[in-house]
This record gives sequence, C-alpha cells and structure tokens, in this order.
Amino acid sequence: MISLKQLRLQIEGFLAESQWPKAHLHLGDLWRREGKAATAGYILSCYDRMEGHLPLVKRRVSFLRSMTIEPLIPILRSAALVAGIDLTTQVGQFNAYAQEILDPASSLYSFDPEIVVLAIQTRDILPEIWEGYSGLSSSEIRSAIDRVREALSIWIGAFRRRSEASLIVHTFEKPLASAGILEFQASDGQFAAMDRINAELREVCNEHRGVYLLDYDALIARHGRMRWHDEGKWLTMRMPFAIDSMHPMVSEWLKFIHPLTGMICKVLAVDLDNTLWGGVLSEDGPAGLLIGSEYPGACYRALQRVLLDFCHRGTLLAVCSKNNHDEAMSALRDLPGMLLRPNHFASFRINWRDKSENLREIARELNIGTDAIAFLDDNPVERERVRTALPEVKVLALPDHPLGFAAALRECPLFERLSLSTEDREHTNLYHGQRERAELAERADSLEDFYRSLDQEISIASVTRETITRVAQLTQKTNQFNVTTRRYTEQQIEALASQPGWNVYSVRVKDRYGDNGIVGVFITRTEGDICEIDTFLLSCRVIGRTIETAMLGHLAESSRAEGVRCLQGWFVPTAKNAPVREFYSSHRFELIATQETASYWSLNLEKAEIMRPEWIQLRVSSGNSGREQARA
Amino acid sequence: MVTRDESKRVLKRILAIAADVFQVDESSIGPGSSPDSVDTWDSLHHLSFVVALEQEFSVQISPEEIEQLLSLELTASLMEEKLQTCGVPDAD
Repeated sequence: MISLKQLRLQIEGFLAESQWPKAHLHLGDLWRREGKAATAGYILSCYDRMEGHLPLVKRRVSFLRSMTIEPLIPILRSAALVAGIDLTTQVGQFNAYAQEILDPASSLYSFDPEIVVLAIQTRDILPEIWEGYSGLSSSEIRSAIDRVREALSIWIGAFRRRSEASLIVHTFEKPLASAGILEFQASDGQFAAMDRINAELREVCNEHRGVYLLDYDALIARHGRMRWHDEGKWLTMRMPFAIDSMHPMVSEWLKFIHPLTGMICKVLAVDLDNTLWGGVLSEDGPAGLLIGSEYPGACYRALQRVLLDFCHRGTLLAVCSKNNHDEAMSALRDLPGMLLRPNHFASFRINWRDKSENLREIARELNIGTDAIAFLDDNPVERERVRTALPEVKVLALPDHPLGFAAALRECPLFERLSLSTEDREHTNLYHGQRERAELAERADSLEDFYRSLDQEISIASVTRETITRVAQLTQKTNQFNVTTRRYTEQQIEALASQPGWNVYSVRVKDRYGDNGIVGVFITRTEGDICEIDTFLLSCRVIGRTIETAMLGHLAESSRAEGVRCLQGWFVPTAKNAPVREFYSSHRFELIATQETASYWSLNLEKAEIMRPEWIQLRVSSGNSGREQARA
Repeated sequence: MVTRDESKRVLKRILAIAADVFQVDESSIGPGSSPDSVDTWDSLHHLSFVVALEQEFSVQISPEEIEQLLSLELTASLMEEKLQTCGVPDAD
C-alpha cells in the first residue's frame, strides 16, 4: 500500500490534470485511511478546487444544538463529500434552539435548510434529572417529564408548520447513575425516568411527517459510555464528547443523510469464496468450506446475519462470484450452517467472466442503474478492477481479517432506510415473481397473449396516510420510467395533496404471480379546463406491461368527466429516463413547446382518446380528492 | 531534552497541520503565523486546530494551554514541552 504522502501527491496530480473522478475516488481512500481533523481540512480544500466538476448531491443542513459541534462540521462535510454529497451547513446559536424554531424570522428559516438536526443535551433541558435526581419526589419527576414533552411537542409542531425540512432529533442521554448499583433495581429510578422521556419523545416525533429520532443514548452505549466522554473537552470547549467519539457521531448523522439524499444502494452484490463463507469452493470442496457457529466459520455467519438484516430492510442481494455455477448453487442450497439460501438472492452471476460485466448484467436484470449497486468482495484485486471499470459502483472496503467483516458492513450508511414499506420487505419475493413472468413472456407467442396471460389488475387511489410513505419513496427512487423526475418528501406530498386543484394518486398492481404493491404514482394539477401532469412514474418492476396506458387512459376519462379539455405535461430528459422518451408522443400527445432540453406536450381530450388496454382490470377507489383522504 | 532535529520535525508537522486545518498553502505560512495573519484562523478553526494537534501528537491540551497557542512558533514550543515527557511519536 502506498504511503499517505504518496497518496496526497497522486491526488495533487489528478487535480492538476483535471481528472476529477479519479481525484474523488482517491480522496475517499485518503479519508478512509486517515480521517483526522487536519485531513478533513485538506479534503475540503480539494473539493473547493473541484467545484462544479463532479455530480455531487447538494443539501443544506442546519444544526440546532446545546453543545459545541463546530469541530465536527469539517469532518462531516469531508465524509459526505467523498460519498458524493455536498453539504452546506449552518450551526445555530449555542443553546438558542427554542428561539430559532419559534421565531419565523430566525436565521434557521432564512437559511432554508433541507435537513435539520436538533441536538439537545439532557443536562440543559432536564437539569433536575441530570444532577439532582436523588432528591426528587415521584410527582416532581412526573412534572419534569410532562414539561419536556410539552416543550418538544410545541417546538416540533412549530417547526413542521414553518419548514418542510426533514428533522433529525437526538434522544436524551442517560446521566450517571445517582443510586449506584441500586439504580437498576428500582422501577422508578433515574434510568427508568429517562426511558420514559425518550419514549414520549418518540411519540411526539411520530405525530409528524419527516421527523426522525436519532438514538443518541444508544449511540453512546454502543461505543462505551466511559470512552465516549471527555470531561476536558466538555469543560474547555463545551463539546460533550472525546475526540475519538467525533467519527461515530458524524457516522450516525450520515446514516440519516444518506437515505435523505437518495445516496443509498438498492442492490448488494456479494462474492462467495472467503466472503460469504470461508475457503475456496473449487479447491476445498463443499466439505472444506468454513461456515457455522464456531470460529472461523462464525465470522462468515456473522456477515450473513448482516446481509439478512439488509435484505429484510429492502436491499436486494445478488451473487457475483467466480465459480462453477452448479457447484456454487448446490453449496448455497445445502451447505450446513448458512443463514442465507438461494431464495434470499434476487440475481445470480456465477461464472468465470469479468465481475464488472456481471455487475452490469445484474443491473440490467433487476432494472436498476449500476450506481445503485454496492459490491462486496474480500479480494482487493477484484475490488480495484470493478472500481476502475465501473467507478459509479459502490465498492465496499473490507478489513483484512474476517473477524472485522460483519461490524464494518453493519455501519455502512448505504443500506439505511428511513421507513420501510411492505414492498421493501417483500422485495426479493417480488423479483422472484418477475423472473417467472419473464419466463412466461418467453413462452407466450404474441405480446398481447402475454399481457392477457398476466391477469393484471390495477387499483388507482388518492394518496392516504397509509400510502404516503411509499408514494414519496417512489418519487425519490424512480429514475427510469419517470417523465419529470421531481423528487418529493412525505411532507411535500402532503402539502401538494392539500392544495386546491392538485391530486396525488397511487397505483397498485396485482397479477397472477402476486401483489406487486404500489408501483406507480401520478400527480396532477387542474386549473380551469387544463390538467397538467406534474409527475408520472412507474417502478421499473412493471415497465413494459401497458400499465402506463391504463393509467393515462383513466386520467383522460376522469379528467374529461370533470370538464377538462386538455391534458398537458412536461417531459424532462435525464441520463436515465430513456424509457419515457416516447411516452407522450406514443400516446398521441402533440408537442407544443420546448425549453432547453425539456418538451411540453398536450392532448386535446375533445378530439383524441386513449384506449385503455382491455387486458387490464381497473379499480378506482372513491373519487375523493387527495385532501380528504390524506387527512383521513 | 528535545534535540534540534526533533524540534525542526515538530515545527514542520505543525506547519503541515495548520495548512490543512486553515485551508491555506503551506508556503504561505511560517513560524510567525498567527490568528492575526491567517484569515481563516478564527475561533472555530482554532478548535479544529486543537483537535488536529491532539490527534497528531497524541497529547491532551488543557484549557490554559489552548490560550497559549497564539502563533505556530508558540504552538511548536508547547508541543515540544509536552513531548519531552513522552517522546516524539513517529509520523506514519
């Protein structure tokens, strides 16, 4: 491995030659090897020099706090930049979080953040429980809890009314135990009181859209309470943690920032030999492979547990391995001690070909971009090869020893999700259904026969409390079949649906292989006799089955019934939405305007009609506007 | 005692850290550089500078000492003083 000094020289070389993507990759290496405060400064300078040359996702983040977090900011920004996220940050006045939230003219709102972190310390908001607990009566404890609940409820409510930003709220940290070893014996102890307060805080947060809890107390516990703190840092700079706690704190924020910016991976492609199990199948044979509850097989089983957790959280797993296909499949099926089996994987590429080519095929099969793939392989040569051939694939760094595999992977923010829809949990099963559908398509003689054989039924409904998470998620994740690619948070969807003239619809698709869940969204705005399509998207899972025509047909019919004369909409081309390039023209819309690369299309409902495919059953739930239903 | 060579090494490393933290070119700063002469050396960057020094030299800097870091030269002599007891750790 080259020295850090050489690595910096390489980076300087790339910068001098304007090789921005290479500089970006190597700055990531530098940061992973030396994530110090000084390194952060250097990394920020380098990205300043690359300004405008890299496709970074930009976000504005505001911190409301009762602690010093300033030294964390360069570290956070560096860690985010090497992951492709450019954060502009604002740190609120020390201990002025309440004023900032309550004053509509505060710098918080004028900064117009997209993400806000609320980090209040227990010692500030609950001094009596932090320091004077042993002298409190149970009614005094109750009133302290009530006071905090009410304050938080007012602040968070006021914030939600004034801002659409996502809000990340720290839980309150447990103090040192006043009662010593007696602490845990008592059901009305100090810790029990803190648990109650945090439970109430969770209730308050759950009452609002886009408000998420960061379990600060659990974070401290995970890293060790004694090691987390540094009294010197608290007393000298009001930073309530040690220097070594800065990285864990920043990583925890990033676990929220990644899904909030869409910087997550939909697919995790894993190698088999010495990654999923110990040993090399073609050399050691299935009996020689290491997997199970004893060392060293236990290291690999621990890794499988992490993968299984990710799978249940909505990440698709895929196998990308150099092996003999049949041997590897039977090992996956039959090897004792495994937690993962073939049914946990959505795609398999087990052959002796180049892995980057296999990853491209996995992306094609699962209908995603290669930038949504993460790649896990113990072999540094394979990792480097993929990184060079496909720089957009997130190649995960693994520690040298398998003992560290599971822990390293578990902390990765690319597999975090802010909410989980039923579709996410059933994800892998849905893809199994899709494979069977693809086989049917190969058998069916004509395309029409194939459509008919699917027995498709689509249900169109206005967005509701139950479906809003999935609807927002689809606007954030859908890249291919998406005419405008407008991204909306849950709060924004809720706001849109309550505006006069606006309607937000979800589309659920069932077929003979099962329920695909909600896979389509369209958003319209009707003004006078014109209905404009703001958003029209379909999950790639159901593309090519004429569902879009059924959706559009329904929209045309229902609009006409309401007196609409023209259906209009923008097509905004992106690098990924080629599948909708012909969408409006193939449905006989006429081009009426262009603006830069975007084009505006119109369909005169008095003259033209959209034939709804007869092989699709359509169900429409009551014609309520989004407003009533979203609020129901 | 810290030898002359070690003393030079300490100053060199402090210059490198300061260039990183204050985001300036290393050639633009020297032993005499201070919050007055470096635009980006404000109170917030000062905290990052303290953190960076503690990380680089594996030392703890006390509240009294934080206030002594008024120039890179003074920073270097404080670091030398602190390192006398434990020796200069190797750069990687």
